[in-house]
Amino acid sequence: MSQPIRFSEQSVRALQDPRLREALRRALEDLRGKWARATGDLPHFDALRDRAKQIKAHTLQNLDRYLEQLEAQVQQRGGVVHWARDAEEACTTVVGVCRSAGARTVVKSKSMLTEEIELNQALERAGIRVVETDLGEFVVQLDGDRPSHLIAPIIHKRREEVAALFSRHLGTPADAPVEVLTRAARAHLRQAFLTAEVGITGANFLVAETGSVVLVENEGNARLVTALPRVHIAVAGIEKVIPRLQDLAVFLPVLVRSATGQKLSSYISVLSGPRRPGEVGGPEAFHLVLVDNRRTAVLADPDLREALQCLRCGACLNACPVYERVGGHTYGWVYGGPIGAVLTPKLRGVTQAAQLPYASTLCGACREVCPVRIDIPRMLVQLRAQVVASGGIRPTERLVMRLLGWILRSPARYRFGGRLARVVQRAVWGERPIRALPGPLRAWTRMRDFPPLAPRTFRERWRTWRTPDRRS
Amino acid sequence: MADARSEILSRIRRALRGAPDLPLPPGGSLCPSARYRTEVGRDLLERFLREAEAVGVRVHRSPGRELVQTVVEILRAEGARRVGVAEEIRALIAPLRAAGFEAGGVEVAREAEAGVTGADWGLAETGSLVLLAGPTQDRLLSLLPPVHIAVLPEDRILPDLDALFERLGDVPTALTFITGPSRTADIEQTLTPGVHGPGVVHVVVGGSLP
Amino acid sequence: MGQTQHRGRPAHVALFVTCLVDQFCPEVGEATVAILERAGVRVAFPEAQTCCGQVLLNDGFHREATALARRFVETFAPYEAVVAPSGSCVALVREFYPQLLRGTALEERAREVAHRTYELGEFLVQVLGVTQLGARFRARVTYHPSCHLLRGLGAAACAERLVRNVEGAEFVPLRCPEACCGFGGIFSVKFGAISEAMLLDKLADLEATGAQVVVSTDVSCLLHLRGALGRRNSPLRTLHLAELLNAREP
Repeated sequence: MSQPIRFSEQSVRALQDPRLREALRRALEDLRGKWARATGDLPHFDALRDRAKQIKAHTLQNLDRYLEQLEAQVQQRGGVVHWARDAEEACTTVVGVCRSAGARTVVKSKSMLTEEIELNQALERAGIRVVETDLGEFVVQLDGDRPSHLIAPIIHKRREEVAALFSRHLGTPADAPVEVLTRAARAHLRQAFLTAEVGITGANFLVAETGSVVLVENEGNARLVTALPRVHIAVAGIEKVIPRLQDLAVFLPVLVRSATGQKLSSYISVLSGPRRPGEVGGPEAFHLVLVDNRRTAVLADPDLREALQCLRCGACLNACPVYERVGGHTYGWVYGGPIGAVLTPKLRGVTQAAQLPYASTLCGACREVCPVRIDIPRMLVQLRAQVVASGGIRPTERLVMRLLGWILRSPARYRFGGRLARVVQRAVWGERPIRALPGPLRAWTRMRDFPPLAPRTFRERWRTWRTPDRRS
Repeated sequence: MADARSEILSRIRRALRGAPDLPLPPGGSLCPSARYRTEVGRDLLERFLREAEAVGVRVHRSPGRELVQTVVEILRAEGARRVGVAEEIRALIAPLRAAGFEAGGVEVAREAEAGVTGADWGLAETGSLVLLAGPTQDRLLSLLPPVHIAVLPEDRILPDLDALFERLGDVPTALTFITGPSRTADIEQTLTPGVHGPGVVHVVVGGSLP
Repeated sequence: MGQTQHRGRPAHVALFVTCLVDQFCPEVGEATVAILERAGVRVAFPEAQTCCGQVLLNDGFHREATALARRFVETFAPYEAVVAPSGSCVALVREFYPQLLRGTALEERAREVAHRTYELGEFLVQVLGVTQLGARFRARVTYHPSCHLLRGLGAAACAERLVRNVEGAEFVPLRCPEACCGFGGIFSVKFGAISEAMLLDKLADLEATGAQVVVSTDVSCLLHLRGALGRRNSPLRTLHLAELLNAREP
């Protein structure tokens, strides 16, 4: 956690990996197509997005009240609620519950929050075996890798790599096709499901009105994680709460269509407390761990509060031209892509991730596809101001920008600056396109010429060209 | 030091000081396009079958026919011998045994090659099955076996999620929406069924129990 | 955004030429004036103008950018409408000025000026209702909508309509017109390699059209593309919308 994220260096490395580029290009083309079909298919999709945003904004403005309601409901249904201020407290809580359940093995379904708090490492340090059961996350775990996309964790890996990995660990043929790999994972993981004492999930939504945890998935592993082990622990960020069960009629379609282009995912589980008498399947005990981990700091920032509305659908990653070129690992932490460039600096501190807010052309593609219309470009611009304020920018750049600001503030200085620049340009480059610039501008001229200043500015030409009566 | 709960709540209250009050919009998706809803609602059964098929569910209509006959045909076609039958339709167990299957209740879920369950509702808009866990609806037979056969009464098809939430009373411990078979696209976006749950889902609409 | 409010047809507008056009492409400014006058609008050029402050804002120097926002609002407040040959600068004025000047005496005026500030194509089509300016240009032409025009202002269709209506020009659509060219101002300096990767894909799409000329509403995108096309000695030329609309080839 202490090393600052070096986005720029990592991006150069990622760009030089043609297989990564190809994998991303193909996957994103597919996902973008699905997004376009799924959102174009529903006539009131935009109205649903507006509604989803309103509900989220309202909930966040009343977050304390809804969390208290959620807690009371979970308790009433026989569940236990824990609160965790930070990652360490969250991990300690989960490890504690696992220990008192006598857990030797826990099975997990996909959860970005547990990546964020590094729960697996904490459980392993406590001597508990952790098995990731989402196919992509299972591959990541076997390979000691990290997920590189919110919903497609191994978007960066090719089939051949997975086949080689499975052949080492599960004994499948080295050139096994996807069906064979999938069957092998099913058989291997089924054993883990049947032996694990504890199942750990995240939550896509928490319903305050009913104390429910909502899990959205396609594989069925989240269903298994919550149906077979004796204990279910859901670990969720405090921002995941929504007021009412019927709000799911708004959120499920916008989430699923934005994420995978389906109308609904294969499985959606709305889980409310432990198993009741006479029921078969489901846990005997249910624990909900509500995690802050600097989310309240995001809430306290009126300019960035909106980031807590994120549903983690991954649509902004799929749409982003920068993510498309560099992949999720380049962003240096669990949350990649445009929303990661907002969340990481806020959750880890702007000085730890000072480059991320700049890693965008502000093209706006992310804002256009967001199911809750989060204005990511605006937030990136706000964050850049926070980077500058926290001293996260090089002194020369600061000097240049301050000087530029001073020049542009006065038409006289602006005119003089333009004249001075022309004198320098003529002396050094003449009036042809500039093929090489020094210093930090060198990167620009590697494959592009820099445009030369025109011999005379528009305003000079206007003065001689226009008759006085047309002038202002 | 304050406990985590009160500290987090007070952090939230501090963070929200001076924040504008935003109203909670009315409940439900309140689909602004009445035409769309009418379209979905026009022929619930037809829409349900079409949508279910589109997500890879194999649909069977069994009006007036003995349900057991349809289920037997499906099981034979799937090559399933061991069958788990959910409590609410346990009347199927005896005739399935008579037809030569090793049929049992939820206790055989782990070994069964097929699970037969009821479905509490169907959603026409998305072709989804809705299962409410309870004493007669376990959470395993629709999940552990590689083949799931769901029996859905025709009068239990609703237009959409809104309609379901309007009718749902208190939430069950598990409210499960099943929209197609278990699937993954994690490896190179290649759609592969049956990764953890059933790779094959049949739905039988209508039909009478013995 | 995209919502512009104009009562009636303004007879007199102020040109915000933008610093890039002023310094690098004065001919674009002149073409803009010529077109507006042809459309029957009198054009003023307030000489107190400098720059909208985009580079400062986007680099995080918001205090400096706010000073420029103030200058812009004060300079242009007296005019019925402001027209700029740039989607990007106009998007900045509309999206950020009211926010930068929030809580100051100028906030309301910033909002008013923002509502009356238009990109050239948007002004012609949506405010004046002009879609044909008698331009003649003999070439195969493609159109790259700038991101801020397309998604910031939601006005990319205006320029495209004007381009398609040019007599003699054969319009060839671009694959993935919505994809960013990779400029992003300070982005292309800080992350030169990513910017290049985006640019290369855009160049490939442009060259695949077989067009001789690529038109856009923003000189920022055009200078970026031109810099790369020049380096590769590509025959593909860049042209600003204003220059195309002002063309009178026989």
